[in-house]
Amino acid sequence: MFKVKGVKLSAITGSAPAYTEDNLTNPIFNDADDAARYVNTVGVRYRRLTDDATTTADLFVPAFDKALELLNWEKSDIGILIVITQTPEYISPLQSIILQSRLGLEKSCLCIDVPLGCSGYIYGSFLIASMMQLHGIKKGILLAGDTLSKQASKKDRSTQPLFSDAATASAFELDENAADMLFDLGSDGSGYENIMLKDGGYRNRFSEESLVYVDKGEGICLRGIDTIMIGTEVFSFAISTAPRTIKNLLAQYELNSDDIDYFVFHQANMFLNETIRKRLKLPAEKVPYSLHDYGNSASSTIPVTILDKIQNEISEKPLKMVLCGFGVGLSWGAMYIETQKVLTAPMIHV
Amino acid sequence: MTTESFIQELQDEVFMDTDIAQITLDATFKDLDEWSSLTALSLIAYFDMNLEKKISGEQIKNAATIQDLYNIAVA
Repeated sequence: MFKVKGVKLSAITGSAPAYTEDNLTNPIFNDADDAARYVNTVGVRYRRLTDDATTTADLFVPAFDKALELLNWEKSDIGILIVITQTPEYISPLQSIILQSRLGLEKSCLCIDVPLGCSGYIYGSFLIASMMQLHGIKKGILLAGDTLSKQASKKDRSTQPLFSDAATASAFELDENAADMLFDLGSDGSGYENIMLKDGGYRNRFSEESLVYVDKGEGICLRGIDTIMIGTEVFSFAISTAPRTIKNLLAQYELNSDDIDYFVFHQANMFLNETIRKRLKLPAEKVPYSLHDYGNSASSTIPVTILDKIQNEISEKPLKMVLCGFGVGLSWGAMYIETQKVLTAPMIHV
Repeated sequence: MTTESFIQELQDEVFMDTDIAQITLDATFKDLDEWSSLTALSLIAYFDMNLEKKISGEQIKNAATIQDLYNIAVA
């Protein structure tokens, strides 16, 4: 359990590819009924896809530019940049450092990458707010995004129809009147093989074999450079862990779920998220989804959902929110935040 | 839990579109029309929420009949 004082969430912006593909006509499904059943249960109709030449970094730039425009900040004001992504341009050097120059930030700006996935937005918010509070850094930018579609095998029906691309920018600033941000965070490395990209690191170096498709059965055929997801294990983990971390957070800080305006979850899939929602006995209107139009884009799904579904509310009035991310690691986190008229813009389609 | 109540709960929570007459102890549940990867997830959710038990993907893979599932439920 962690508490961060005196840091305010000032702006959220996001960008995603304008190009979409429709799951109802996705050839990975057996037929139209199969496709319709998938869209109904998993919740993803459209996936937003970058082309080969476009990286997560290219999606971050318009989101960052829009945030700065809304905030009227000088680039030289930004003291810390944290980038949450599992799809950087290069293995080395860090994405945040490359972006420091590309975005025109000062050389004194702290640049940190955190290669987390679905829990990344919670950790990113925790890290940036903590660093700002501890070291008196007045303004900071958290970039969270992924071009997750590039990690899905075209022959894997557990990931190909689900994974989508998006990137977001969140601006934080010191404000002594800001309500405390509260966090519950956890990890379980024993489940590291349940969502994994096996090749390209230093345990399994990238090789010719990394490009060979292997049939795993049940509609899953993938290469070493594709994400493998053990659906049943991930599901089992998420439906127990996400409710627990949220209950921990609420109990520790004596928060009543009736007083929370919105619970924004990582957009894993509709069936899984609805199981979590029912388990927490939350009314449907407090739990927004962006899966239909934006799919699952790992670290960016929480801010994308805010922009897609509650942009007006968060811009116009104070909100009490619980945000929760869970996934690859295995890693999870929940945070409580009280926002005050956050500056936002509709999702930018590039 | 009796086998009857287990079968009734399976019909309520997992095999919602399957006639209960088809959900017998010796039925091979993966042969039911409704069986799919999503039904498997419903089964995990049912075990987790109603029985407060974990059933792994491996256990589901190794189970053949409704009786096998019942045995896991009462183990």
